[in-house]
Amino acid sequence: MLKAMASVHIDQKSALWVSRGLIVGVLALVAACAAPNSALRQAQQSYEKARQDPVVASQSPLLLHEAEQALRQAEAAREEVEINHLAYIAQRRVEVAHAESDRKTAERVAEKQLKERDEIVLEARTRETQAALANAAEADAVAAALAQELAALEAKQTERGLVLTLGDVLFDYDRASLKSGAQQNLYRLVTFLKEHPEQNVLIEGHTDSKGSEFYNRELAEDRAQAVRDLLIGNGIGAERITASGYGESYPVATNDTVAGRQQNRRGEIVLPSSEPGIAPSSKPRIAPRVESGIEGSD
Amino acid sequence: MKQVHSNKSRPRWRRLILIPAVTITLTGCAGVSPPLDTVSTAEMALNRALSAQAARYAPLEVRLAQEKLDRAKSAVHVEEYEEARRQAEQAEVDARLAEAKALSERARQHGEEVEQTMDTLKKEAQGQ
Repeated sequence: MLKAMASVHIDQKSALWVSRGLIVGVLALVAACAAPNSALRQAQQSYEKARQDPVVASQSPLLLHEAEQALRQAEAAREEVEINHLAYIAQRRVEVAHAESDRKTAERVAEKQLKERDEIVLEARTRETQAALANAAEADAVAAALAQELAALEAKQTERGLVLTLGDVLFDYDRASLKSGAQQNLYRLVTFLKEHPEQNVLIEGHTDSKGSEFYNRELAEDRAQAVRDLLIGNGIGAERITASGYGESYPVATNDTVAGRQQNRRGEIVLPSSEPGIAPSSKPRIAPRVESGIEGSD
Repeated sequence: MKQVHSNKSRPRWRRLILIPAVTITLTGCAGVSPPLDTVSTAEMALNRALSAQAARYAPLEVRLAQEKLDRAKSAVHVEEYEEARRQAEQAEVDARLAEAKALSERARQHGEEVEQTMDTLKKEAQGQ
């Protein structure tokens, strides 16, 4: 009885094994049949995904079409090796479509950025140009203001720089001290020198030919010194001011008439351009007349 | 052994019919002519990929294309034309993918360079 039961058990066990073997066998068969289908199915899925991707679909329509052709051929093929082959071709074409689409997108982005870059460069250049123009305009304005100030000082442009003739309004006859109204007259010069701290100034005293040449020179020097002191007193650095007396050596008019002598009695304020100063003139502007020897001055 | 026996026992006319039938079937399977156009197309595609610097940017695809092209040529040599065609077709599509990947990667890198220049420019512009 036990033996019989055991044999029945063995029979059941072997039946189980047989059925298991059958299932495995069937599965293997199914797998063998599904093998080409899986490659094809994968290609179909890849293709569908790419087709529904608006970027890929719009950028690489031709390659998607080629992929679709390979898919249709694979679906129609009967041989397993050919189905796999065509599925591979279809799959690769989809991948090429993706890569192409990526390239075109990258190129488009780069192109857009290059355009933006050009715009930035252009904008920067425009801004620089405008700044340069503004600077030039500012420089022009400064030059214009300077010209206006100098015009107010009634300066004349000469080879030595700007020369401002003060006439005899600053000093009394035969005196080296400034008239009470002289400060007012020199005020504009002080303002100008304060506004242009780089500008040096030469102060030259001239007399007419009345009196001895030595005396006239002394007087001219004293007068130039008086103007210098006034400028220093108004805050202009002494190192910027050179005062000299030239006496009667450089007349600007004849000493024969009262009017001419009045023109010759003068102070000249010279604003040299940055080059080293030049003497009043290499030659007297009007040949000094040999004095008659009348004593006195101015 | 039994089959050989039975073959031997076949009448002569049946054997005469069998030989052309087998020959037709074989030629049908192998393809009539070698797929030389397909091989040269694949070769051109590979050359294009190489000149797009694909060896650097898509080395795997280039290697696959090269191997398949070699296999296609060998298959032509031993007159396995169907195998040669498949290998050549796959080599071509691998080469095309290599080229496309290389071009795409280069475009991307170029874009990055442009972007860096842009950032520098923008910073400069802001600094002004």
